[in-house]
Amino acid sequence: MKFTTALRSSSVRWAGPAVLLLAALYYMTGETAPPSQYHHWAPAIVSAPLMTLYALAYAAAAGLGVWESGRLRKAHIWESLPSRSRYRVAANILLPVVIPSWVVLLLPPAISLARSGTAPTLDSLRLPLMGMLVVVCHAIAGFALGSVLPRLIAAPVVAVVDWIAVAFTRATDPYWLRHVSGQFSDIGFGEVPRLVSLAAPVLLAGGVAVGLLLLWLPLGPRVLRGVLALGVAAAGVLGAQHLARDWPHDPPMATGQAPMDCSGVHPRVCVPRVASGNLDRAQREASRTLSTLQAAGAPVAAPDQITDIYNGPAAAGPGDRVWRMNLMTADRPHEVGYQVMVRALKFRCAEVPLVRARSVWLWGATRTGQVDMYQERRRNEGVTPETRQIESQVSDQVRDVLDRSQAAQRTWIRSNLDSCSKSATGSTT
Amino acid sequence: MRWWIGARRAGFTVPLALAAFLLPLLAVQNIRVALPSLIGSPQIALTLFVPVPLVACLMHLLESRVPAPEDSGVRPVARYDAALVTAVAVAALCCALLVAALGGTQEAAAAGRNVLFLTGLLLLGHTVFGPSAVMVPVAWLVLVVGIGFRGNVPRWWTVVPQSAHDVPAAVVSLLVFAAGLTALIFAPRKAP
Amino acid sequence: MTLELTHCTYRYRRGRKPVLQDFDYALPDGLSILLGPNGAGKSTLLKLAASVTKPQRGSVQLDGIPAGSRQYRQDVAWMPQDITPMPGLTAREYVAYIGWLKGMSRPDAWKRARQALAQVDLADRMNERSDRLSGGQLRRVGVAGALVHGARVLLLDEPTAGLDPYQRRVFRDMLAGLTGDIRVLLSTHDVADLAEEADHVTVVHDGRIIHHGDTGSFLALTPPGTVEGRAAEGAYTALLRNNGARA
Repeated sequence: MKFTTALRSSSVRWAGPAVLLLAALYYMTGETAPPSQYHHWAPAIVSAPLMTLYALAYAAAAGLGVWESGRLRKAHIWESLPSRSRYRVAANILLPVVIPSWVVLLLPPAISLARSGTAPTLDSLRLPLMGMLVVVCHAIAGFALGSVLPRLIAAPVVAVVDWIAVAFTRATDPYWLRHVSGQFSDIGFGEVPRLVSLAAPVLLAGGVAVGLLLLWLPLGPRVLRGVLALGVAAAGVLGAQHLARDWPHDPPMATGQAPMDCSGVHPRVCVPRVASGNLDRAQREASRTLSTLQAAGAPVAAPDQITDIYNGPAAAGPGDRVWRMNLMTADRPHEVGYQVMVRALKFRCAEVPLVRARSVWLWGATRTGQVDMYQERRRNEGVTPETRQIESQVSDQVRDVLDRSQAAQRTWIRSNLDSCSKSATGSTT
Repeated sequence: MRWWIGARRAGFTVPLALAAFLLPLLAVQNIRVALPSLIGSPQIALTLFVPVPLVACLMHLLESRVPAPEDSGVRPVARYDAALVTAVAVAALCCALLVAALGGTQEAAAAGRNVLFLTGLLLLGHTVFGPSAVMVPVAWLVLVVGIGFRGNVPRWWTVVPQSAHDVPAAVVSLLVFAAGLTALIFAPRKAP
Repeated sequence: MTLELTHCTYRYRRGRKPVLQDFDYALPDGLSILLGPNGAGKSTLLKLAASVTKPQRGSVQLDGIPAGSRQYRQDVAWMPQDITPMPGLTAREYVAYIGWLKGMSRPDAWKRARQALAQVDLADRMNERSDRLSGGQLRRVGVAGALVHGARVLLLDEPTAGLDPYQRRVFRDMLAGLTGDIRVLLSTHDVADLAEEADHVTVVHDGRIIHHGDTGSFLALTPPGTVEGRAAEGAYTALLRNNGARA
């Protein structure tokens, strides 16, 4: 049968538009995060719409697979099959079924990429390709069920059960369930899902699908085929579970994958290429802030490198040689310098009285010419009578310190960074 | 009449439909899951989906027919079908109310109301799409989960996730059910 | 008795070309054969005559009784091209059900079902589930369903499709044995078998009648030199070719 004929006679004619409409609702109601939030990182842009559409794609494929299989059974196709391969007939019928689900997985990400002006990359295709493979597996499973169950009952039940079974794993324990279901969370800047993360759902769905396909092999007695099929399916399911059972909330991801540009030495500052317009200023601010603080007597251990926090592991780098900060979105003057100042003035103790901490920062901001940034941060935290009183104390204290000699200021800053004594109004880490 | 029941396979399908409604209802009536919607991740009662097998069985019943003699005969077969659908839907509603009364949750009672609503949708869709209308209730549920919640609060038009005491939802369900029955009786049957 | 389609126009979907347009047809007495290529409008004509569907324009009547009325439906029997097997019904129950649908009482329908199945030589299978019958047997059940309620008009769509030669013989004998004022309109591709047995032949092409007359006038169209025994085929082919050339 020609593909266009298969398409025209298939349930896709009426189901396809409905499925695509449901997917299109993502853009009418669901896209809450603006494309700019992803900083042109294609894998993240692709992952966001997919997060809500995997279950729909799989369920549509499974339900329509049942429907088409039932249609063939009703037309007694299998009884009248002379020499044409069953697999060929099934593939011919299922291809129009999987296409709408593939479109559900490809079109929304494509639109998101276009809206953000980001070109797709090979890494960004990993999740859609995984989803497309799993779609085929769900279609095969649906087809197998439709060959034995009445389609009017099985098609909607399979579609709903499939959808819930995949969708609910998103927020459930144990974690391995969500890693093998084919449901994937959104990913962050610089992250790319590792191939093993994609392999787990493909292994589970693929094992079941291949097992079902083996039932149709024209070899050996039915019992033997059944045992073989069961073995393959079990291997797939257990293999996937074994693979994913120790994974935490997020599956294995490769981080720090975004291309970086770097500038300067002592410190060397690296930012993602999409933000490299700010690189030189960031490096100058970092360098100037560190040298000013050192000259003022602060015990600053300058890093070798400062890099962006989004494009790397969530935890801090080894020791204090590499600092990770929010450089990518720091596109205003003194945003980088202020972060460097706060990081450089490191307290020995985990908890420090609020007034002391703020005094240290205000002193550092004043010495490095970043008072405006300090005040903006305080305003962003919210202004109340209590905070005004605290700031009043802080300002008085810092004014007093700044009137002292250089040596006295050096002593003051070192003792404040070193002291663990607590006093009045709470603490800050 | 017994031949009509035999043609519809009602002797087998009706008990199956009621069992396929009651057993899942008992099993999941206290379970809520977070499902990914297009706008958030609302907590959805699984009882929302419990009517689907029953509604599918109703479509299977209606499509088990001998088209030519029924369409060219003098017996009001469409009215018999409507009576059968009503009997099954009311039986499901009674089962649901019984489950709710025997210490179950109000979600069980809501599931009974939803049988009426989804059956009505099925019948209305049947006049336009024929047997493939069996997917209309599923599409409605996907739509509701997708865009029908603001946080965990269902929007006014969703009907199915409303509480059992919600009067507008009950009225709408009855109206849709009645409209569906009317369509079943008076609209010409669409060929599969 | 006259079954008439008058100025009937029917299209399956709005905007599509009508299958029948301003179509007039009066069913003659006896056995009439309806011939035509696929898509000519034969099944549509039968459906209109069976009052399964209504024409968008025109009327269908049996002795002035409009199609769709109770009396009309009781007097007209229709056997469609596709017979749906029913897992919940035996062959006898199937035929009885059809009789009941056509207004017979239950006891009458049950009794007549056995007789109708005997007429189509299926009495030995009457207690078998209808979904376990072969295609040919199921078709005979359909014919029995058309005979069960004593209709005055039988509309049979492809009744001999899937029947072996013996079964076709049984069917022809059954047709010949119909008594009373029963008119039969039979749509078929089986030109050779049936044309000689029919009283009238109507050929439909592209929604219009291209031949309507007794069998003799149809067979007279046979081209000279046609192989013996294939006169009906020859006449049919020549008719279509001529009609196609004129169009």
